[in-house]
Amino acid sequence: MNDRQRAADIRMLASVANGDREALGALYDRFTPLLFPVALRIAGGHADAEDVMQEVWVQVWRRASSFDAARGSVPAWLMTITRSRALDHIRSRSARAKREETAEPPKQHAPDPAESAESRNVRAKLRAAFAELGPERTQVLELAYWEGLSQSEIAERTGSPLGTVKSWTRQGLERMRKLLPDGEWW
Amino acid sequence: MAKHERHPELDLVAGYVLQALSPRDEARLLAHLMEGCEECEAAMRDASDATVAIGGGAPAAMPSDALRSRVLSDPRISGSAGGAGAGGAGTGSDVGRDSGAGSDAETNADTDADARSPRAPGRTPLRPRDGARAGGGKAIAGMLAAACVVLMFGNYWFWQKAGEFRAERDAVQRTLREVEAELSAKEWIPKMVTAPGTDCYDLALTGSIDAPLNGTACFARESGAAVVLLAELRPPSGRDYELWVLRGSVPTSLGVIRADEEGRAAIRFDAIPDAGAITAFAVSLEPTGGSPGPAPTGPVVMVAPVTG
Repeated sequence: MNDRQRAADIRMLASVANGDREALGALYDRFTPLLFPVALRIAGGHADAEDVMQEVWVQVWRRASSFDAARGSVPAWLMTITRSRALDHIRSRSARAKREETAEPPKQHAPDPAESAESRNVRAKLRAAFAELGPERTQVLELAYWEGLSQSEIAERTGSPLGTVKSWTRQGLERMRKLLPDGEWW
Repeated sequence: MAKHERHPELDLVAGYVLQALSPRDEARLLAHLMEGCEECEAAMRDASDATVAIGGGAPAAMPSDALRSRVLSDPRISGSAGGAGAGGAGTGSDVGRDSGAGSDAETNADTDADARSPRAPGRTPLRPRDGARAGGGKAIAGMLAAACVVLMFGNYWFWQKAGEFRAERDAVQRTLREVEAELSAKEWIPKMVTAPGTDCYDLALTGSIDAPLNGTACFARESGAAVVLLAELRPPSGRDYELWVLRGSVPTSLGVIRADEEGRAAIRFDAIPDAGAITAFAVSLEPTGGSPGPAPTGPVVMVAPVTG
């Protein structure tokens, strides 16, 4: 993501904070291709993922003024909200039961025929970078990111010391960040 | 590695952006950020970007076309953005205004009515008709004069008594309003805590001091209403506990905490400004009277991150 795009994102979010619904629509158009796959993979079903996304955009509308550009980018902020809402969704008992009935294994989604070659290329690079982290770091990040496990739960699940889990988490994110310099993704 | 040893909280940053920290670790990191650590802030930005990269690797998928219009026509999006915070502040103020203004308006109306009534009987006799003077009889004049004197005293007596009654009534009304306000304050906390949209968060100890403090912050983001309940507040001599909210990493004081004799405090806020941006409540230990600056100067002892 270049500086110009970063600044444009911040302006759009500022417009949303000022009550501009068109700006919200523009943010929706720009970031749905990034956020929806995350909601889908965590929530498990298309309808659930759409419910999650609706809550995400309502929260964006209400909380746009709380965005702090000094602490991260707009896509990072939106991604945090998306993961939070999606993880909340699967943590609710009724949603969990529904998910078990309608669950679709994440890797069975057919490639989106409308996706551009450029976008496919970016996704492939991101997956490759993730695979570069090594099995332990990848597993720790997978469990935290997609399943919403706490570091204590990950330590218990993997049988690794808590301190090691914390270190792998930090090293995994640091390496992921280094493997993907600015401009490679959203 | 040397950098890491200076900032052990750096190990917590990745867990924080993945929302995978225990409440205690989260409180520890937020307290550290609140005290200002550029290195951890920079690590936070990098780690946040990395989470976007992980999500970006998910298999491509798009929602139905209908979702866009469903989102944009959601009734929760029809008002002004951030309206929750602004509207909430208004709601809190309105509650105060409604009760106060209502009572005052009624009091003023009653006072006017009572002030008019005692004067009325005196007015007519104090205006002798022309016909009576034309009669010219001294006896009649004397009787009239006597009647006037009696009526004047009567009027004065009534007026004075009415004043006393008014003062008594005002005192009773004042007491009534105080009792009502006290009752309302006692009812406000349980009502606020159990209201839809209010979430309660434990204030977790950061481990910066050895004290058995505990507390809970209940917060309604929509209205900005909050109540912070604290126990075992016994600051060391020459120190005070101070309550803060964080918006991102920017702290704002909510004032020095005054506990009762048993070390308890229940602090109520009708509407904290810019509630939508609040990310945490925190308590720090400060010199008597509170921090001399805009940020904590003493250790942050408790933190409750607020979400949603």
